[in-house]
Amino acid sequence: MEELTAKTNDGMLELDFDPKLAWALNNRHLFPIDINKADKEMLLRVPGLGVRNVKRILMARRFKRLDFEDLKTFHIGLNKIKPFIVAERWTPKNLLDNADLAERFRNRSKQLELFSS
Amino acid sequence: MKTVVLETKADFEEWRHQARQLLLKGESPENILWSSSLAPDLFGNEMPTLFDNEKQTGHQKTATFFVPKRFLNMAQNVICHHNEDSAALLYRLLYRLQTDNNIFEKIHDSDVATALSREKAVCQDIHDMYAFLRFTEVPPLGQRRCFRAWYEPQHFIIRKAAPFFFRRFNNMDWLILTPKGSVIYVDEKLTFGEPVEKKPQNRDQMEELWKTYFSHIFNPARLKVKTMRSLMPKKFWGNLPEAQLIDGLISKAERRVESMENQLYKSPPLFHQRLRDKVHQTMNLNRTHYESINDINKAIKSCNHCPLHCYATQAVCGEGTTSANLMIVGEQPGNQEDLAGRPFVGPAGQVFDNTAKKVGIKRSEIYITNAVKHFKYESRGKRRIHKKASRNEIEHCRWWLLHEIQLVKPKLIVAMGKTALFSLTGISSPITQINGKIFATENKTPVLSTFHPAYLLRINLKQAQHQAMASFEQSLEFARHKVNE
Repeated sequence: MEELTAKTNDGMLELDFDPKLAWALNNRHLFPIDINKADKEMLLRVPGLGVRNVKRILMARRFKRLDFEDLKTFHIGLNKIKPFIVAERWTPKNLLDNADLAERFRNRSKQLELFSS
Repeated sequence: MKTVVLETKADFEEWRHQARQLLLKGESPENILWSSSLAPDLFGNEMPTLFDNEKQTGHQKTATFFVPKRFLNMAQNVICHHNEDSAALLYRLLYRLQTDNNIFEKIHDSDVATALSREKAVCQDIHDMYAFLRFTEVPPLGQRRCFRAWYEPQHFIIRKAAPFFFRRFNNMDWLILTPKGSVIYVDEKLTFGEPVEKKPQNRDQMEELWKTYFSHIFNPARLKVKTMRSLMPKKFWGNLPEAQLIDGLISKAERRVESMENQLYKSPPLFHQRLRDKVHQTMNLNRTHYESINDINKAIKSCNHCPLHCYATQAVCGEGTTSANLMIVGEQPGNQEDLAGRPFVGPAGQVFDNTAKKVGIKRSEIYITNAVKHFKYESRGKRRIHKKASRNEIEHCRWWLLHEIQLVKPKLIVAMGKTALFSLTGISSPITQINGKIFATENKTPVLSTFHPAYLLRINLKQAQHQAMASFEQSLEFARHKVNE
């Protein structure tokens, strides 16, 4: 919990991103993570990878180096994890260092004002 | 290219037989075309051939192969899938399984992933069928009542699902009709029939009753539309008679909750009076003064100061006259006392009675009670074995004992056993050391300590038992003398 709110001012979670994504954006130096080599703890920190998918990755990578096609068969959303992982035939290059990376993920939908004048 | 024909849809045994023959011949899956009809196919350059069973039997015995149980379980489900290429997919997996044992761990593989997802879909479909099938009564086909159901499954699951209904409804005749095959259970014979394309129109009286029941068990205050939808998806609503009611029930729910809240206060049901009486009785417990022994006994009966009252049959109150000069205090009721509701009627009570008779003490002239009013025991099989009361329980029950002493005002109290002595005087030395000695309660009433009759029964050595008996008798005799002085 402390880890998640360390970078924010008031100790609250970010409203625009989910906590895992916010943590990843604040700790970019730890990424990208090679999904074919990283240990379980690091895989679990990748935004967009849950416990179930991490288990699938760990199971499948014993037999081959995983690429995006394999991630698709696990029904993993690629858009979200793309900048944070290295896979077979994929490196994020400077995507991770991009200044507007956070902007891409920002939640644009806004609650409408009920009593706007 | 070779064409293999499966005559029935989703028949696992047939597929298994065919696949076994193919595998024994070492046919590669690329060269096999699985078909569900005898019509010649675009790519099948040979006319479809059915294997001759008799020719193959000899061959079968010589060569066998093994597949993991996981594969068999999966294949039985996947073969039911509506997709035409399920048979081919399974044969591909089976063929690969011969060289690769870890195939089920390769979940990135498209064949494995497809097979797993198809298995899941079929299992879900079977589960749904169990839940959303509705029978209506039709005129009997045989001796017994007959019921008919219509269902639209996504996959060919009739053969997989039928055993469930067979187990469940084997005391009646029934038929389940679906566009993907039907199953008929008449005169205790289960047969699979042709698919039925059109939904039969029939309703029975039970339908109205069921709808009434359904609308009545609906709780408007606990409405959760999203959960309801996910557990009972709309695609099944067509065949559920109660589904017509759902929309109406949801739209009226809010108003019904409101009206329930606005409903005026009603007088409580009759049994509330009984509950209230019980509370009054327990309030009796906290009085500091009791006028008579009946008064106190009534309060003891409803005592709930310690947990013992939960397990005992009843509280066992004291017995005797209030004008008694001699008061006997035992330890706690035993099994028989607990059932009879009277003190000292069990084996220990008999020992006491005999000894008292010998020394000339009559029960009617004394007051006899226990230090703890409830039976404490542990169950061993069907028997309830006596268990020593804890210090806490004794202290709770002391309240009653002191009030009894206050009312009876005896000249002498005989404390039988350690528990009684502890309750009366607070002394907890073993009775063998202080047997026959006289102590005093807080109110200066003399207390004679002696053995408990149950202890006398427990002594194994004959000689020691005689000695203790004599000592017990002596104590009672002494008590009688002391009181009659």
